[in-house]
Amino acid sequence: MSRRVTLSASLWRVLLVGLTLVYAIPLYLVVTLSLKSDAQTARAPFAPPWQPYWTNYLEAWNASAASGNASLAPALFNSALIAILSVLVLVVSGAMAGYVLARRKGRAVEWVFLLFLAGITVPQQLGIVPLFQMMRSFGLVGNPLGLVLINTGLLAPLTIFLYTTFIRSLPTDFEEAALMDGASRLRVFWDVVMPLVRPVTATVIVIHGMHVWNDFFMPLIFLLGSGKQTLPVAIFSLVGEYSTSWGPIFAGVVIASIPVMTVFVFLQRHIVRGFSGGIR
Amino acid sequence: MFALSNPITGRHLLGGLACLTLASAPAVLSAQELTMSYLASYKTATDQAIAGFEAANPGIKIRASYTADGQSIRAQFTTGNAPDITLVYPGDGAPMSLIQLAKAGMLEDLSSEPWARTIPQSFRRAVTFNGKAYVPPTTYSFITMLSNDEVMKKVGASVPVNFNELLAFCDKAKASTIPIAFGLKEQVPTLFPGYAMIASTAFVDNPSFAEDHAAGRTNFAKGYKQSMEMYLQMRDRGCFSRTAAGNSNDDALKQIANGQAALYVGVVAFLPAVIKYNPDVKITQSPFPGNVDESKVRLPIGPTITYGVSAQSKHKEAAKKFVAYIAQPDNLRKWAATVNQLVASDIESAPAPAGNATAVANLLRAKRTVEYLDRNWPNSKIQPIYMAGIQELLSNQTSVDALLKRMDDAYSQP
Amino acid sequence: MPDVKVNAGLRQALQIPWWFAGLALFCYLLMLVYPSIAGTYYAFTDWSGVGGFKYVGFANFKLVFTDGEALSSLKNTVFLAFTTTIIQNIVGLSLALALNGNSRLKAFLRPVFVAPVLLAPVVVGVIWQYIYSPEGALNSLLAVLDLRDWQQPWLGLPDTALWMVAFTVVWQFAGLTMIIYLAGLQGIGPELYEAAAMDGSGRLRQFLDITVPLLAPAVTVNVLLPFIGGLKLFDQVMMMTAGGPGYSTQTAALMIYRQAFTHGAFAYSTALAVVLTIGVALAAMVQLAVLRRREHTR
Repeated sequence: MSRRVTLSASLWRVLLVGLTLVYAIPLYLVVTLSLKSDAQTARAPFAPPWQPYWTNYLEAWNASAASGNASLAPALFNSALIAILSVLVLVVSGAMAGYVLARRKGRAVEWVFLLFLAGITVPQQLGIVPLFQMMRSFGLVGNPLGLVLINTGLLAPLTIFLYTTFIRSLPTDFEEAALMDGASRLRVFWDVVMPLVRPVTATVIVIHGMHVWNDFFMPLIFLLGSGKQTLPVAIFSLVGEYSTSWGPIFAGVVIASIPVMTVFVFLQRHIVRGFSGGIR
Repeated sequence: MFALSNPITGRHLLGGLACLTLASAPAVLSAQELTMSYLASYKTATDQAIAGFEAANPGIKIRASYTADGQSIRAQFTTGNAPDITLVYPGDGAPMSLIQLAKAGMLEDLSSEPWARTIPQSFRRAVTFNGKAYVPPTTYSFITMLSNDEVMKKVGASVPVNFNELLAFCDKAKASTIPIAFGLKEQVPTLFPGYAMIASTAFVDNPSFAEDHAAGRTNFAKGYKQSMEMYLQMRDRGCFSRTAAGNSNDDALKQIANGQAALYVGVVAFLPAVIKYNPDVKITQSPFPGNVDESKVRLPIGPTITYGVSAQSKHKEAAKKFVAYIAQPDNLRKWAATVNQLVASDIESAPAPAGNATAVANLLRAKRTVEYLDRNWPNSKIQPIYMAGIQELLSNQTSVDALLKRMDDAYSQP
Repeated sequence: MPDVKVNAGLRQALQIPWWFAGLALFCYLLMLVYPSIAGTYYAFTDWSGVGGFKYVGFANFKLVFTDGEALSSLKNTVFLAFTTTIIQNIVGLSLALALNGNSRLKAFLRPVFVAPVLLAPVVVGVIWQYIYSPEGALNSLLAVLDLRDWQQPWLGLPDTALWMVAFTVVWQFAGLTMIIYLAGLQGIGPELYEAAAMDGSGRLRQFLDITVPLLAPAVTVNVLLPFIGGLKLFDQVMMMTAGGPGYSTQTAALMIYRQAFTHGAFAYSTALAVVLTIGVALAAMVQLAVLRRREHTR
């Protein structure tokens, strides 16, 4: 008889049902409210949309496309651009830095490693004012590439921590073999180490990709009003503009969440593994 | 000489020059795109103006963003992503006030614009800073009290004309309806009854209260105490509904429109919204009875939000054109009609406001008015303290004296 | 087996050159290290973003601890950190225990609980702003259940608004806590429970003696992350209440943003940020010390 930690008492079943409802209903509401007019919502908030009111989607897409800050089309593009570039640069720079810190001997290595670690808990608010001043002097405010740079810097600590600890746990046999075959260290890194650290790369892509896509604070400061805002900022502006007209607002929310939810549907197992990777 | 000796080269030269001219012309003809940020409650009027402007100026397109409150626009100015055309509150007292923006160098000096020569005297202080004009006067508004005629009839009372009558009305009406619809969830609605009460107390006892305050002869603790206690009296006598703290201003407008409340206090610009929610509603406008003595009731009045050009703008000429367009008398009248306010240039003649508003018109004509208080506050920290403070006061989180002290402290800060 | 000289050569070759870390170091130093140090410096001046500034010592910090708004924000921040961590762990652990045995149920329900984790916090804020609004789903539900007396302006009353923000954050991230607990539970072999059952231990005893200690690493993560995240809360609050009513839901992060970008009080803003950083560092150190020790003593 296999005994795992199970709870079959009916109390737990009730709890589970209750929590499931608490989670499912808001998600259900987002979709249904996006398809109901204000009048329909007022009359019957929980009823399914028997007559879908597609105008909400038209309004969220077109009306806000005419206005500046709430425009969803450029937001979709900028969110994708910034997320993809940030993750790319983070993975490459982080893995390379992790490789040095994992393999190189010497006291300096420990200090540099600690230097990176220190940045893990530092809140972004501490340096935001000087950072902003600096980016302004570089002319990078309002430029999505500026955010890629910022993300690479701010998310480096955790990335490097993950890569360094993982690579340290790897035996050096494969690398030594490749070196004996005459490969350059860069080649060794690229052909031998990178494939081996795929679990960490997956974790980094999931965790940081998600963080950058959903980031609000940095784009709010650097991109609001530039015409190159990201999705979270666009949603924020959309709500400011439509205040209590929830139909178009939720239509915007659905549009903004489709990319993330699509990725989730197809990559759920990988995502979950990415999150719990730190525990095993 | 080169051209003369070889006619073919000369023609080529001319042709080249012609091509160059034509090549540069499209730069002028191609559309300029301007950005604008404005208040969401003025969306209809502004969209209308944009449409008219774009029709008359085919090379210019304006993309407008609307927001419920100006603070995020102020952040955009700080970060250098300011819109070309922006909302500006006249006078002082808020992050997006003229004085605050002009002091920080955020606005373009528009003194040489045609409309800058004909600013009415009573508006000079609201739209100029250090002798320079930055924004055109648009309209002026006042704080009025709307009463739903049907609900009043059902309650069996007439519109109160002094403060004691108001409290008595609340006692009577609270059994069957919401006496005063109040959007206490938001901060701005706290200003409406507040300014009316302060105008009818502090400024009646001392018409030069603002000047004395600036000279240090008086302060908030001396002048505003009575009005805050009056606020508490209103709460204790049940004037506001129990759920007022969760109602937005929009909710309150719906309540007065749909007969769930008897009275509503706010700027007259909200009247069209009420009518939109219920086209059949019958509304009477009266001044808010901010004093126990009817003859001491004053109407808070002030120049309203206007349009400015950002000093960081890369399309200054086009932006100035739009502002001048709005300032033209015909366009301004149309704008004013949509927001149900009175055109600035009319202030001398004080025509009657729309709707059943005899009592208000009388006060306007008798010049028993007081300018919006925050226009005289020297920095942008006081108004948020007042607004949040009233919210806290009404929910028992602070005391009158504590709030007054906070305001006095903020007044003396730079 | 390679001889010693080849070995030494290999060891030398594996001394990866420093330039491998060049890009990461460059971005990190420029975007995080320099601004953090500069920020700490500005906290001791009176800089307003434009023009010059002069040294003012601890004046800004004194203001932080006497200003009602700042104290209120700090209080709210700490409150949110504690409540979200505690409730999130209760919910997350319960879900993990409930779903652990039943793989079909887990496969079916896990997406429901994990989906909110992936949504943007701003989006979650919008969803719950609607639900808590006077005309929103919560009040409608109460009406349907004939509990009209319980209807409230949930985000409009200072007493309830902060709790509602806490519940929203918990709702979003309990699924993450659940996943981490599930991973931890997977690592506990069933033989342990069998042995304990044969020794006569009841279910509760097994839970306390086996499950809890072996979950220690998961607990460490599940206490540290939400707490630090709670201290830095910005997105959901900015979306749902923007700090209101009054300042009753304003967090430290929100006030730091406002002071800098709406009021131009750059120096004051950085002083607040320094206080927040110290708070986060202290919280992290204390928690790591306590939790790591519990991990090792069992």
